[in-house]
Amino acid sequence: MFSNPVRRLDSVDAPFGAEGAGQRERLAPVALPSWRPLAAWVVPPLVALIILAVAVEIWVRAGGVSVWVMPRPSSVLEVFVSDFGLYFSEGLLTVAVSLAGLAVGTAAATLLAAGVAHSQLLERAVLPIAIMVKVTPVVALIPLFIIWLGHSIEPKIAIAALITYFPVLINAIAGFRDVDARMHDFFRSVDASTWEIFRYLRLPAAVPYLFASLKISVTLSLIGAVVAEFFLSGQGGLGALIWIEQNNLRLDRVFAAVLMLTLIGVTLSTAVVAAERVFSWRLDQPSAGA
Amino acid sequence: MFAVSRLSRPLVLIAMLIAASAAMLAAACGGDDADEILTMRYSAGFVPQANLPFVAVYVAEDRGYFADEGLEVDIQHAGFTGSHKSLILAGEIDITTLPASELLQTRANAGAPYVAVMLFGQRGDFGYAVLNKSGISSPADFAGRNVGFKGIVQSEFHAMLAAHSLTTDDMTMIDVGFNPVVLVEEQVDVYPVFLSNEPDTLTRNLNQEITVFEAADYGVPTLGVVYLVTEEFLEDETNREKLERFLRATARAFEFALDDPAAAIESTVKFLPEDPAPDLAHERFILDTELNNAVSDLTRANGVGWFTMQQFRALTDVLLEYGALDQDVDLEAALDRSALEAVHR
Repeated sequence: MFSNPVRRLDSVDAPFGAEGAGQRERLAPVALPSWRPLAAWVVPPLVALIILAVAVEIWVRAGGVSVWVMPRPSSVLEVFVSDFGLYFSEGLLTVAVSLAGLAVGTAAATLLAAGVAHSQLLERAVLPIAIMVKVTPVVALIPLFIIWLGHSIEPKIAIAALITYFPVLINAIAGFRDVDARMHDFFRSVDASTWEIFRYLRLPAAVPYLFASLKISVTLSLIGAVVAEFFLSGQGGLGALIWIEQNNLRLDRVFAAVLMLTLIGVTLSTAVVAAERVFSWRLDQPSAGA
Repeated sequence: MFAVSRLSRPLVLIAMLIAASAAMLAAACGGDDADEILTMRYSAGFVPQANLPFVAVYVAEDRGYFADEGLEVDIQHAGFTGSHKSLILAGEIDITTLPASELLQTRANAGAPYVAVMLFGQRGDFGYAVLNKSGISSPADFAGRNVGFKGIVQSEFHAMLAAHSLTTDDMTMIDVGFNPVVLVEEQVDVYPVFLSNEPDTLTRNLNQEITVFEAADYGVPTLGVVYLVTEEFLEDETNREKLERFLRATARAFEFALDDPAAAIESTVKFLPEDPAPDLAHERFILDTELNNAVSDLTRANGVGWFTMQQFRALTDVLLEYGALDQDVDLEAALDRSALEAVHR
């Protein structure tokens, strides 16, 4: 059985230059990517954020800007620190919705993209519907999702999934198709099945594309979760908190919730980047595809 | 000489008339503030529709009541944004609308220096709808049922349950968002409605037979929408003058709407979006409901828009009891009836 075409490739003198997995095996062992010092990642954005906050503080104080229009960053920070437990626990609820939506959206989009990559007929049938759903204002769908899916976490997950699926779908289609034609021909020449071509050729080719889309989708999923929480504000989450505090005109608390949302967004984005590095490193290893 | 003297008499009279007219005109233009044209910036707290506090402005503008008062009013709408609540505090608008309970909450919880100057809803805007086929004939029957809420369980709902020896623990509370179809689909047995529009949607558009329970019917103090300004606005005497003119014109429009709601709707339609075409029956339902809730023994005795400290004290106490307020509200600062008193004097 043709269980590992990459190894099969190694057994022949693969004509594919540096792209050939067989050649990789003859290279010196690849070292783990050298991680930049943490400070190099954290300090620049932190400094930029501090400069921005100071500028806003000066603007609000010197310009006599009403606290009902823009709270002082110092007040926001004070609230954020004193009520950190609240923002953290509400943030966890939002993260749960966001990640669940991202998982559902990514899985659905990847499966669909896999089908579309193999079939132009499917592409013609499905892509217009995908675009139609994409351009539908998600806010208009939330009340319907609540009726269809119930009054718990499900409609919120669905909204987050709906917002995230499209970038993944488009990128995944491009990734699944971005295979070397000669390599594809070679797989065919050794009687590789469609599944084997997908598993060992198309899927690895799509990985960089999937990670690129995930970097976009992970923050989109947060937006989807927050928007859905506006509509189901009785169930908590940062979106609910923002909605309630906005109604109460406690803008310092609104911005404190936004600050927590920002931190979560940065954390999730960083996690995707880290995952991409680890995954890329694994793919670069000689045992890739084994 | 004779000829000249015969001619000069009417000329002198004309000259005297012109001089007198000029003096009166000068007095009118510069000597008396009452005739000076003032401007007022008003924001309705929602989209254009026939809510009474909006209709009063539409009618006053359309029928020239503002002009009669020497007032030019810039009419804006907050839409769904809630921006009016911040804009008035930032001094970008002069007067807006807000439910009384929300005024008290933002004053108590955020220190917003809002001041109510006229009250439209002598009872609250919320009700609790059930399908007639559900067998629910009183809030006492809510026990064991699925009861919807829109984000926050209203204090008045807690109070209404308490009047029936119930709490929310006796039922299943479900966050339903803003779609009455959940009641039609029987996903909940009780659905909180905005009295002025959702009962019409349920009965006329969704063909449901419903009963709506209101907390006020069970002795719970509730209040509807007010006109509000800020403390800072009232510190200026010119602002007080224009507020008085604004309230006089809108109170007149309010009374006009009571006398002839159909004509009030005709005025209102001029301020509604043309596309999609307004549902006039729905707009009329909104206006009739709010007119009905805006009249009480108190307003009949004192004039439209009247309010008392006692009304707001009772509402504040309910909000405090059920945790909607972080602290008590200084009602002396939150209410100012002086302009309304001048209007009805």
